[in-house]
Amino acid sequence: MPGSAVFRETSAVERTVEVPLAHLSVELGHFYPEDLAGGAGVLAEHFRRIAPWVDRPRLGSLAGGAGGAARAGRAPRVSTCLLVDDYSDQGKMPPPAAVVPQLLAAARAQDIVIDYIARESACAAAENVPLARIVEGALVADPPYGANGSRPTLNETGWLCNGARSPSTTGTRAMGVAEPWQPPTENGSRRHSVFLDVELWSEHRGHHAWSCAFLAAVWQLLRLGLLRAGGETVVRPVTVDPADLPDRWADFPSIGRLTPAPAPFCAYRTFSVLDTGYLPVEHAVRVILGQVGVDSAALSATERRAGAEGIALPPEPADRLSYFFLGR
Amino acid sequence: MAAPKATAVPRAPKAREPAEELDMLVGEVRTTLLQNSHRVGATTVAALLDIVPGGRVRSATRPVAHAFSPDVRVGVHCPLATISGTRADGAGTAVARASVTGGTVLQASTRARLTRAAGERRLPWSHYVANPGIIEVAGRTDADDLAAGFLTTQTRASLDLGAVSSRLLSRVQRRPGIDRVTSLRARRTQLRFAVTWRSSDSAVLPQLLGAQRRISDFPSVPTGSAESFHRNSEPAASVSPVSVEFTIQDETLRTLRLRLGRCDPSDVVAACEDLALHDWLLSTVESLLDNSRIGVDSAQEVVRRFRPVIDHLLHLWMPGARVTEELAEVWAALERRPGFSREWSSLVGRIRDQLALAGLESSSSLSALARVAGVCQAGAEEDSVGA
Repeated sequence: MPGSAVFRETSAVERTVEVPLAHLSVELGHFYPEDLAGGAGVLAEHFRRIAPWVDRPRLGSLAGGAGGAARAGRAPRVSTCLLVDDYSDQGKMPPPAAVVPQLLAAARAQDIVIDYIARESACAAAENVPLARIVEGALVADPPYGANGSRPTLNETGWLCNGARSPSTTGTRAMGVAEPWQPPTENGSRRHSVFLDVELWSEHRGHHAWSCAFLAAVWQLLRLGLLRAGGETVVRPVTVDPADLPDRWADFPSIGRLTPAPAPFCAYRTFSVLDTGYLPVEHAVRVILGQVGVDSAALSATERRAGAEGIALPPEPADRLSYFFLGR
Repeated sequence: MAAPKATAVPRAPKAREPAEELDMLVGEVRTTLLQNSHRVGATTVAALLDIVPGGRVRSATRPVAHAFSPDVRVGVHCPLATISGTRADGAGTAVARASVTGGTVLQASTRARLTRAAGERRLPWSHYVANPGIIEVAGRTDADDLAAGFLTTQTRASLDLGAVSSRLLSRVQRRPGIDRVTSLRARRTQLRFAVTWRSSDSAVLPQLLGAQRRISDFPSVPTGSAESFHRNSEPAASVSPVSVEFTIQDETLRTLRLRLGRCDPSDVVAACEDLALHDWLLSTVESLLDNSRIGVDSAQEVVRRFRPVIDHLLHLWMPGARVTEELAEVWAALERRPGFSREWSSLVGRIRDQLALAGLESSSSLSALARVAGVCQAGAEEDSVGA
């Protein structure tokens, strides 16, 4: 009988690390500089309004139904987080030393625990990992009928839509006959379209600025534990001591951990409690997520691990998001 | 795996042709010379293939330096070619990757698994994106129909995975780090492949039993010019798990039809890339020898012409080196007929003869000859090890 030999080179083997996963990642808010300039009263009002919607039994019901943890009598693993926008108006955000204690106090007054605080600029690039570029590079645009691979997909630079755009109405044919207007169409629509065209980034004075919608999509993918760089995790929360906070957001960790032993930052599902004003942004997030080819190994790992816990996880990332929108 | 979500009720299957399971693999490998004046080092190769942000270039050093890019996904929604003319549409994503072997040969391969769509209606794109490398087929056709159509009757509108590979080749050739100077003339070759699986309980197609040589299974193949090599891996008596049909359609296009036992599709793609590489080596060296004016010009002149072959290509011949155990049978079948390594040995022999002649013509360059002949001899030894 011939002997068998195993030969492999580790540099040749595909490798995707797995990340710790909670059942549910709860976003308690998304804060702009003006939200924080309003003082303690505005923040207190925010947490007072959301408190009934983020109590543990409610969150448990979102975490994966009647299966798994609930049946076993264990509390579901739920982590809470919020996002501070230090990206769009860089410099306007008051320093962490001022903002973080305010946020913690306002939440504590409503018995809400904040486990993680993340910076929006970390969704663009965190610790030299260009997260937004990685997600942009993973976009597989929804092809119109006729896309057979022979031509590169026609992408309006920096824009992504959920169907076929209306042909340009500004151009006229030779002889000066105007083309009749044609409506845009949503791919896969039932009968009528809800067409959405999302700006992913813009160039302004040589500065490449990612849109809020695109960074929000990166943020959701981060929370779903589906982003990798070279197969490695990009989520590394760093413990933050509320008594010793930096003066600049750039010195604050990408994801700061504020409680001693919270559930993992990443989770099978996410739940976001947001001002209704974010509805169009989150619609855009869903359009973007529907066209991001996430790391297959990372995606299948979440399904497999949820399954092992008795949780049926939808295969598509966008279906793992839940929202609660609050009017003013 | 696709977890089809039915949003439309499929039409009731006709009794004559039930909508049977569909699971097959199609793809196309394009192979060419990396446009650089000399062999490219591992670091540069890694940079050339780093085409996906956040992806990871994978590389191996043995038995020959080989690196490949992360996968690139391409969305498609288009007609699929069928030999019967039955209408079929595909929606989903194909997956492409580029690779460099020996710092010299650049390949791009694009592949997709074809599976049956749950209904006629196209699903939201997010469904297809979550199942990379799977194209769902709507239409009343079967695997043999699709395989034959894909290999031989593609139209301008039908699925064109070769175009995806071709664009990827060009994209890598345009990247910084290479000087775009080539030392020898080499054509881009295309290897189009279609693979179906034989489950252990399924009947083997009767016409394949006992077939040792066939021109083609596909009636539309222009049999006049196409050379075809068809092998069942076992004689007629036993039911073979493997059948291989390799056809040289024209100067650049080859088609490969495989019927295999259950195995990992990614291993099959690697085997097809390996076959494409060796077919390209054969075609390139053969074409260079044919155009080297052997017997017309002096042997020294001839040797000077194919010096780049000795420097860059001869040592790359290692058939089956990256092919898994399960697929070794495919190589073994092709080695019996047409006998790739036999043909290669013959080419190497012709090169060696010219080197010897050149030595006789110029006794002053004897020492140089010994050096070059040594290289050639080493190539021939590797050949016998790899075969």
